[in-house]
Amino acid sequence: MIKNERQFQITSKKLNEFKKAIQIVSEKQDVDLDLKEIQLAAMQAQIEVLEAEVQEYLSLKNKELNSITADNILDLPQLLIKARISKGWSQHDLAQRLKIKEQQIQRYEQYNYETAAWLRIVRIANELEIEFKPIKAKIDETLFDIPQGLSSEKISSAQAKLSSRRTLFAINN
Amino acid sequence: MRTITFYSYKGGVGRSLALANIAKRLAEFNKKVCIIDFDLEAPGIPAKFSSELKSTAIKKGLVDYIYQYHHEGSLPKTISDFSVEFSLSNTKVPISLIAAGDTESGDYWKKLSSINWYELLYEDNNSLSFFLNLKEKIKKEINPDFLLIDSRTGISEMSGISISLLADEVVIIAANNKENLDGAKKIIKSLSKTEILLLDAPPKTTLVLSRIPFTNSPKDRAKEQVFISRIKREFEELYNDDIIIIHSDRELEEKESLKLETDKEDSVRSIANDY
Repeated sequence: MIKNERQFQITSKKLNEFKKAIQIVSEKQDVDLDLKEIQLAAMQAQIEVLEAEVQEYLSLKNKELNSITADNILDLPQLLIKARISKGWSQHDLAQRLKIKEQQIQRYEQYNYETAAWLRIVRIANELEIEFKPIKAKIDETLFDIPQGLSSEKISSAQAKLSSRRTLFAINN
Repeated sequence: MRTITFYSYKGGVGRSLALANIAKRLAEFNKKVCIIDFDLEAPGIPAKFSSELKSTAIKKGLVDYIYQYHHEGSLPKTISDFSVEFSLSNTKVPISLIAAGDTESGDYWKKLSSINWYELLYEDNNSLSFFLNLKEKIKKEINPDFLLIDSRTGISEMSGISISLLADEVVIIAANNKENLDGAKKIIKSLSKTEILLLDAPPKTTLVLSRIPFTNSPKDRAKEQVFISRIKREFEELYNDDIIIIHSDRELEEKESLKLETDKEDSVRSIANDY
């Protein structure tokens, strides 16, 4: 993931170099054809990865999205970085708002917020207007009086089916 | 306890009226009936029993029951707190109703719109037990011979719970037009697929055509037979049981009422026979 303008410049430069290299390799005459094909495919794959990263960064920076969602709490660090980029704030801008040093934000982002203190993460999330859904705690799974003759194994396998199918219908032609 | 869900793909086909009439007839046979009004966005069962049931009688219903679990995180201890009882004239056994809720209060509609059905069903690891437990509570506290459920129309999580999760039997009511019949076909097909089965055998389905004009003339009767055969052929691969007809007449369309009084004129008696 491209996290800042500097990385964006480096990646864009790399991308151009790969594109030139692919041109050169494909014009080479005096090489083993199989080898050439492998080389081209490898470079093409590399280009696709870089292009996707550049594309993601640009769509964030150009505010093409109305909101960004993370499905897992483990993706929160990436979401914090993406939200900053989407707001058009540099690491320096964010640091200023929080009255902390720019290097601090740089370090957080570099290590995906692994080194940030809990309250600091909450402050940054608030500054970036991250919304949290109600977070639930499971308390007791055996509260339910269910029909006799149904084993709990049967119910949990049916529940697993329900959770993975995510529909109560079978509509198709 | 036999659970029968009344479903229609579109509204306005007389689904709730059919359910109310069946409930009445079963009560006349001294059967204990419990009704769940699961048409939460447009509940209509209380209106069908407006002479027996005071509109102020309903304080809480299914929406409050689900809301308490879904938003407040506690499973209601009883279902009786969410149901009302009323008696029809000339019957001995009262009917129990789990209404949608107190639809005269703004609170009802707020609660309804805050229920996230997708989350409730697929992201809560107890969702299946929650609905099975609801049925179990009805069985233990009310112990009806028949549990009749008025389903939401269309294809949604709400109607899915009524037909795919709770029903032993599904009565699909359709008016005689393309959108109704196509919808009915989709549902019959869906219910016959084993992949939607969570626990038991697929529910028995019964197809009912409603709002068919009542007639005594032999010529019109013959016409009726022709289009019923046509529909039968259309459903051939999916549905082989009899197609049930519920007739309608001018009086019924003008002043909708429970149609089981057998002491009146000809057409009324015949429509009563449909049930």
